[in-house]
Amino acid sequence: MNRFLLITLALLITSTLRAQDLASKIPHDAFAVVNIQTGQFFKLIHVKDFDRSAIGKALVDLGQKTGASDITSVTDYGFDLNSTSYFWTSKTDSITYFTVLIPLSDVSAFEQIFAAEEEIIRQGPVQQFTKTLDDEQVTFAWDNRMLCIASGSPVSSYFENQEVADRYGITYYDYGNYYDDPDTTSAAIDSANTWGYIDDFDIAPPVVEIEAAPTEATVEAAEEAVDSLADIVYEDEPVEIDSTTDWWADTANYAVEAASPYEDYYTKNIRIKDSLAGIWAREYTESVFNHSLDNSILNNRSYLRSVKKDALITGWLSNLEAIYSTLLPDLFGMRGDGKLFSYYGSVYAGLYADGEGFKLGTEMEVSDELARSFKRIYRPKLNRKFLKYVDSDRAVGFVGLAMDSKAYLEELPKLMNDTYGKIFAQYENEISLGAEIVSLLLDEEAIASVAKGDGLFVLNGIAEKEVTYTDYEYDEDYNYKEIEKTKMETIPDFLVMFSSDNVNLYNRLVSYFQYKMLLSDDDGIFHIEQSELPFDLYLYRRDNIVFLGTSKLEMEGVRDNRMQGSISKAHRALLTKNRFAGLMSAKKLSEEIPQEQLRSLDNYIAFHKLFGNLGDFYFRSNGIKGNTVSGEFVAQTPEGYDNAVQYLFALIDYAAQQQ
Amino acid sequence: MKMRLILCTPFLLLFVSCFQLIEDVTVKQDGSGTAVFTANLSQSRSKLASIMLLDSVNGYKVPSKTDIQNHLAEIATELKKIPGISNVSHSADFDKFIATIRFSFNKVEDLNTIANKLFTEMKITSSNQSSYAYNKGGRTFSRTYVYEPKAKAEFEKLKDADKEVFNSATYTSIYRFDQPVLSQSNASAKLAASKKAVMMQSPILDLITGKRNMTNQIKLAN
Repeated sequence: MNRFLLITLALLITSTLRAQDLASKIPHDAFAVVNIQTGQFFKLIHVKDFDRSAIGKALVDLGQKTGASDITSVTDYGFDLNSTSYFWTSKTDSITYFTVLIPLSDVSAFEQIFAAEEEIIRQGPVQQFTKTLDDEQVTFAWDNRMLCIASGSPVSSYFENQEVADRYGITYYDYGNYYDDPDTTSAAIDSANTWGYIDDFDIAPPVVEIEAAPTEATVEAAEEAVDSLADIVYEDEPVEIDSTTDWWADTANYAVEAASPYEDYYTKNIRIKDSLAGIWAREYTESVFNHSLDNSILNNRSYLRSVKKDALITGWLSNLEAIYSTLLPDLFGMRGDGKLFSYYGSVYAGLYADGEGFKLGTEMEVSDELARSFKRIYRPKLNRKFLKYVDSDRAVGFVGLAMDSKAYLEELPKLMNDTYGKIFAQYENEISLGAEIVSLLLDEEAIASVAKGDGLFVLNGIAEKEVTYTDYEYDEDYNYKEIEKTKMETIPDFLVMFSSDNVNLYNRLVSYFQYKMLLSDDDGIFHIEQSELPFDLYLYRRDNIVFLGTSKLEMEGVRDNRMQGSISKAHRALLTKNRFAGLMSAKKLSEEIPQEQLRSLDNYIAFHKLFGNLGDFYFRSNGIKGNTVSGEFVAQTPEGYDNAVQYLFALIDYAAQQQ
Repeated sequence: MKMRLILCTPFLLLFVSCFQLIEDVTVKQDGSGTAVFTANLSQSRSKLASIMLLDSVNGYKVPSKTDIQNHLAEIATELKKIPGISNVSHSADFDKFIATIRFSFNKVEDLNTIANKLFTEMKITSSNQSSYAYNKGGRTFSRTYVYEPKAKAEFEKLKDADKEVFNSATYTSIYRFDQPVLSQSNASAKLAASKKAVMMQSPILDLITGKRNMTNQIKLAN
């Protein structure tokens, strides 16, 4: 698609979004956004049907328990169920914000249910209250159009700075210099004494763009927060320290005395940081209401690409690195200069429900370098000769993969070196050398001639097999001896195929393993002599395909060219049009499970009710297109339901009835 | 004792569908004797063989053959250190999945020392007063089994699927003597034709839930 078309498409999507919903309130620097498209959801299940479902009833009951007796439907909560709600995360150097934006259709209904018991602050058209949930201060702010819920998580590293710590009354131990400073304890206590100046602290968020000037209510809130911080300070008297004490000589005494103030400061530090996060999150909600369209996420093309009108939920992540840098900062710190994160760009995911079923689609952008490698690796298609050995009526499931093993072996050492070499910097030379040696030692072409890189696994069912076990026979004096008994067990019946051009090497390998008594020849079909395997395994090669399977009968069919599988059109397309694809038929699997495995009648009925009607599950990935790797997982809706949402709710209702 | 051991062994719990435990104790007139403990997991051998090809299942590490052999060897070494215990040997058959440990003891009470040591090793605080006793003068062998409510409580915590593991598990105890048995107190126990051995078999589930008691007072002829 050329640039003009792309921009036109982006503008079209943007204009649709701008016209109807709250996405314009999301700042352009949000790094993760989730759209919850309830409008699409209620197109698939009528509100009345939802209200009648187990989940709908539970939600209505919940409202009634809070005192809102006139709630009879989820629509009575005051939320606009026809519009999209949003969740997003954004980060500054000092705080990570988590925000939810829900459109309102009836503000008075919302206020009656959720805000009646709260201390509300009014600020122009916006009202707000703050609640502590799970030790976190969460701000609820709303106007006639939307509800904004925001909380913040302080970024620890921001406060690990003497100047910042002093500004907010936080006691900061510089562990880097801890043992260099012989008077650490005294220094800590001195720092504690400075808490008396808390009234002078700056509580403004260090880096956050707020367009509107602080209002009177904000100032009041801030002053209240300062008072509460001051209360924290004066709760505990400073510990008196005898400066003449020989701390290092009396280690036991030192440990007791030192531990106590640390714990005090640590707790106080957390409380101060959490209070600051609460204040900053409260101010952040105001910025959301005043946010201008120009600075919104709607100017981000990558985000716009993730928005799909017919999805129930879509997720967008600006880049994979953001997850590590924000949510797993410790791990991110280990990355060094490695390319582990820089290989990956934006990530999109969308959950859809339609007549076919639930679909989870994902896409990820990768760097040009990685895209080049992937294109080389995932170039070939599945060997079409495999399809002759697939019987769609019989197969319970299958997984097919098509890749170029030569390209894979050539690309892997380079990728490993780039990725891990810098992470484990102290071993960089060794990793680089190792990668080089592996590349030199491997004859990629020779390996690729034995296993080209495409393969197909077909699960044909679950077979019953007689197995032996050891029991005991007792004589009349209770002396016992081991006896062999038999019982029936279920084992998987599968066939694996992979392309292999090099018959000479295959023959040499077979001869070697025969010599080592690991293979026995039975009229051209080799039995793998491995007693530890729970099933028999046979090996055969024909038409440049190596077959590995559990059924001797089937292998004989392959040898005698009697196999004429009949693959369905859909299964053929799934396998041949994708580089990686798989399918599992829950219905067939439920038919295969022997009844004695489902011992009780209840188990039997529940199992067949849940899985007997279930459609197929399949996944597919067509490798890489441009710089985007995509994949899709589909759970098909069984017959008798209009769409996947209706089926899901029917299942939930059934499960709820069984409780 | 064995009930607690089983309940604390996730490997057995998760992956075995049926198993047998056999306790075979021979007591001589002077109170010395031999003991053989056997765990037969043979009925689940296919499943175990498959699992042992993996490193872990459901978050549980699957012990390798070497791990199991080493563990048995450690138990044997510990047993050898106990005063009165000798001729310790063990075997593990990974084809049939049967493990056995056997040893000689100087006096019956040495079996209690072993039980207590095992509890300590496994950091199990037990109120279980189950024990073995032999009165040389009175020619009486006692096996006291006190039902352990903790075992049932632990069992109840298991998921239903894991509880099913115990449905067909059995415990067999055999006590052999060099003199005929004159009487024995447990109606569930059977006397051998020679009258020199007493055997009792019970579903392990009945022992866990306290439905059955293994306590037996066996009076021997002089």
